[in-house]
Amino acid sequence: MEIQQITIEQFGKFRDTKLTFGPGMNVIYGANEAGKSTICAFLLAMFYGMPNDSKKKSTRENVRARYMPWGEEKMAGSVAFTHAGKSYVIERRMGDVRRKDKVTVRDGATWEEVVIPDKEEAGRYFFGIGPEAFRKTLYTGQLASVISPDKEDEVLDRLANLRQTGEEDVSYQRASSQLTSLLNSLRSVSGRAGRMPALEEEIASLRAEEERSRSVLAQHREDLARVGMLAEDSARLSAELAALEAQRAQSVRQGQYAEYRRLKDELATLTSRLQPDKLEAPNRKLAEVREAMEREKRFSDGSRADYERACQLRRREADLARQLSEEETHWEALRALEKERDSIPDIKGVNLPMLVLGLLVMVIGVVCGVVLHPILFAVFAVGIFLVAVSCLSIREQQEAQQKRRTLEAMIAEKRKTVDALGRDKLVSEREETQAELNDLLEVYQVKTEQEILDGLARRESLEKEGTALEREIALISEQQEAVKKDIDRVTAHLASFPFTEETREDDEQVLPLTELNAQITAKNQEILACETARREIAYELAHRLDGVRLPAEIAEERERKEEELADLGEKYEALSLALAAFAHGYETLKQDFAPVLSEHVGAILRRMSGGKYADVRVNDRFELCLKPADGGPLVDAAYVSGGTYDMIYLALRLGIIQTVLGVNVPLLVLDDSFSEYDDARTKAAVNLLGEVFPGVQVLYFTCHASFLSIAEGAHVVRLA
Amino acid sequence: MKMIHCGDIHFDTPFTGLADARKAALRQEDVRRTFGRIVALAAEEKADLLLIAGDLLDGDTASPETIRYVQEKLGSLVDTRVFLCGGNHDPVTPRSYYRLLDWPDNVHIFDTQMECVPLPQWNACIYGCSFSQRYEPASLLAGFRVEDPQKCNLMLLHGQLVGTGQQSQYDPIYEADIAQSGLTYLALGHTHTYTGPLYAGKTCYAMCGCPEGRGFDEAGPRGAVVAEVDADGASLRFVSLCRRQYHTVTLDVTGAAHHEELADRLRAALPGTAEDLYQIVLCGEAAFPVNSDVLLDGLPCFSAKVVDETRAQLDLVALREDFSLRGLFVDELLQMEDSPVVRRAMQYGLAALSGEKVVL
Repeated sequence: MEIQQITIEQFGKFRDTKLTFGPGMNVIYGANEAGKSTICAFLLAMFYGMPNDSKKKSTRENVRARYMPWGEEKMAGSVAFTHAGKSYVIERRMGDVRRKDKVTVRDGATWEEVVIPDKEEAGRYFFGIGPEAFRKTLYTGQLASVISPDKEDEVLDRLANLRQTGEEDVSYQRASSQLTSLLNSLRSVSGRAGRMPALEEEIASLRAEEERSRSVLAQHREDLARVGMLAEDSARLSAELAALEAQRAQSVRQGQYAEYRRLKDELATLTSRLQPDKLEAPNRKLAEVREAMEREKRFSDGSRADYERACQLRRREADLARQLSEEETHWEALRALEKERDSIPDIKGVNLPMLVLGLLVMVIGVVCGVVLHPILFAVFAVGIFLVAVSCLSIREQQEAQQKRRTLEAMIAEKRKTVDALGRDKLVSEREETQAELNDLLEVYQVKTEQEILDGLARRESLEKEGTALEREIALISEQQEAVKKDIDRVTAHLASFPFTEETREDDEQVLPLTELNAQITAKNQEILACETARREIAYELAHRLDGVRLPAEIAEERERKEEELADLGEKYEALSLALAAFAHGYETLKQDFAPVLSEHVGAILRRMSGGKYADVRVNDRFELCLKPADGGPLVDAAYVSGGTYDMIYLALRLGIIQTVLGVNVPLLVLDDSFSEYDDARTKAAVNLLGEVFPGVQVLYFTCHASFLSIAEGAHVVRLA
Repeated sequence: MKMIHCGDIHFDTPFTGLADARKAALRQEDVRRTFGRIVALAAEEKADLLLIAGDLLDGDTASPETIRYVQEKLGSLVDTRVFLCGGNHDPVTPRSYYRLLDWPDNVHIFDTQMECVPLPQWNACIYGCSFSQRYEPASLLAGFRVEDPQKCNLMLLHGQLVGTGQQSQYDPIYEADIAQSGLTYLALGHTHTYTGPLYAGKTCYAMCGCPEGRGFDEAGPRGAVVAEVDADGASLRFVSLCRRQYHTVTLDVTGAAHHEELADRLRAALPGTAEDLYQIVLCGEAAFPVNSDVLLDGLPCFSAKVVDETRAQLDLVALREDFSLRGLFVDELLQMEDSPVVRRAMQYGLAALSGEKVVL
């Protein structure tokens, strides 16, 4: 394979750019940002298309977005190359999604389209490997070239195969993971999820259902047995009840007899209480009373008023009498007074002679006294005495006059009083009153008004007596009526019995009715309980099996599931076996490829390091272990310095390419892979390339001008 | 006298080997119908007796509906006396339907001790004994002698025919005991295949077999025996009554290029009718993965299942030489003993390695 020319219509920053290459080493030289990575990406895109990383929003990762020219919607270009002696051109147009891509592969000479398998990833056909493998082998990048296995690890697969099978790619990882996921679908790692555990659960639940169904059927049979026993019980209880009923009938009859007798006794008692002549006495008495009352007829209610009146009259009469007597008294008093008045002597008040004498004496006295001798004043004294004595009678007179006057007044008064009393009027009134009173008394035929009252009282007491008698009579009548009624009743009752004294029979004594009734009630309850139980069981018998599947049906389902489980079990075993065989085979292969790779890498490394490292061991994770030629300790490649690291991994890369592709390496693309090397080493590396991969076209992208001088004879492409 | 001798009907017992719940339900119905046919046969043949030699049903799993059906059917045989003995699946226990329910007047169920029921009409008598529990390790026939050898002596019994010195949990019956019994005809039940008339001493005896097969191990016609017995002996005639038969068919797939060819081969090889059940064993080398559903599609049968014992036609020997993952894988599996698991593992592994979708 040799890439002759690439034409970039638009891709990244390039527009209508043509780059021509030659065989062997090609150096594509340009400053940073000149577009080397873009050209690499373009090459890759032409042969393998671009992924649809629409989910990756970051432009860095979304290659389509990254290289889509600004303001454009498509990328386009073509690559002209030779392969196996023929020349081809790949033209590709790419949009923002894969579906808008268009690729054509033409014969370079005729421009006719050639048919190749999967032209979308034409690189598979022309390079013989897929894009991932290409990236890991033929394309060597700038950054740390760590190779790691991933899910779609073609490289590892190829290494594992050691040579191209020419068939569809086999992927251990992919195959293994498919089988593993099938295994897990049957039974997950935890053992709890998956078709098999699900079936196991279903089988367990069916077993439980079968158990339940069996027990329901067993219960059914138990119930049938019980039903039989209950039927027997029911019959027995019915017979017992009938016997008790018969006894009760007897008891009832006996009770009736007793009742009959009792009633008869009652009748006798009642009859004895019937006394028609009990009423005689009271009636008679009543008649007497009525008679008496008749006699005292005159004393009625009105009599009281008359009595009152009589009393009033009597009082009036008494009052009048009193007044008259009073008048008498007064008249007497008057007479006395007059008499007294008349008896009062006429008393001359003053004894005039004496008085004059006296005065004269007095004057004498005084004159004598004065003129004569003072001792004659005593005559004065005597004169006074005489005056005094003369006046003695004055007082008497006065007293008598006074008395007379008093008496006169009293007499006048008294006369007035007497007059007021009016004797005549009194007398006449008194007479009237007396007359009325007497009339009244006569009506009642009594002598005193008290007798009216007595008569009234008598009358009243008679009335009371009469009423009492009437009540008594009524009561007695009632009682007798009642007795009569009772007698009728009892007689009727007795008549209602189906037998008479003569016809009733006496049978043997049985238990008292109350006890029998209690027993019958109890028996009825037993019967009821029995019937209830029977009904319940009948219901159960009819319905217990509702919705319950028969054991046979459940067992059949369970067996079907068990068969299914067994089948899945076999499949599970088969998958496990296949996976084990895979793993085993893979281990075997890895054990084999590692030495081969190690050998290739070792050889390259020896050359590269100028013999410094004698040997190398590569493990399945592409980790290297170096053995220095001078016998020093083994060095883990991870610990070596940067430059050596690069060298080692370059060796690894080349070794892998050699191992995987053998000598049929179509092309090598190196993106400034030797940038860390010094000039000498760079030269050695370039030579190495030529030795390890003779005649293989190498596209070396670099920004180091020094490389140009090192790579003598290389075809140079300068990027603007 | 003429009698129908049947047994082992096994009502309400699970059928195995049916992939379909609907089919299982239909099979249960088949059993019911076949029993109906036995009863009809008794009526048709104007049989004097109908002998049911045990295992009519399963005591634990019988449904009341089935019991009612059986009672009704047996009761409908007005001119036939029915005798029944309990087998190991339906022993006459205190809780067995044989004791709990009232059976029609014409039905006699033998007790758990040997009983004799006189049949004066025919100068005969019939002996019988039921299982009292699921296992009867002691022979129920041991030491038995008929009372009156002049009569036509019948016996109805459920048990297993064993050789001298052998044992059985299900009433072992020894030829020596049969020979010494003096019976005219011994109607047996338990073995599901008709034995044909057997003789020991002057006794004729037979297992009637079940009337309806229950699995592929019970292939062939099934039914009941019509026996004509008198004091001199018995003559037996087998009547096939089963609704469906089981067949196992072996089909060699070698050389067939596609399903249609195989289907034709299969159709040609079917021995039975569209009512029957088939087990198709595929053998030989398959040029393509045989899909059971496709193969069985439209096959005239009640049910069919495929047992795949084919080998895939891969050039495995060549593959194993390949020093690749595939090669090593094939080699490892080929070193193991051939078995369905190994064959499947090979199939899965190769498919997975080819990047194909593996179908379990």
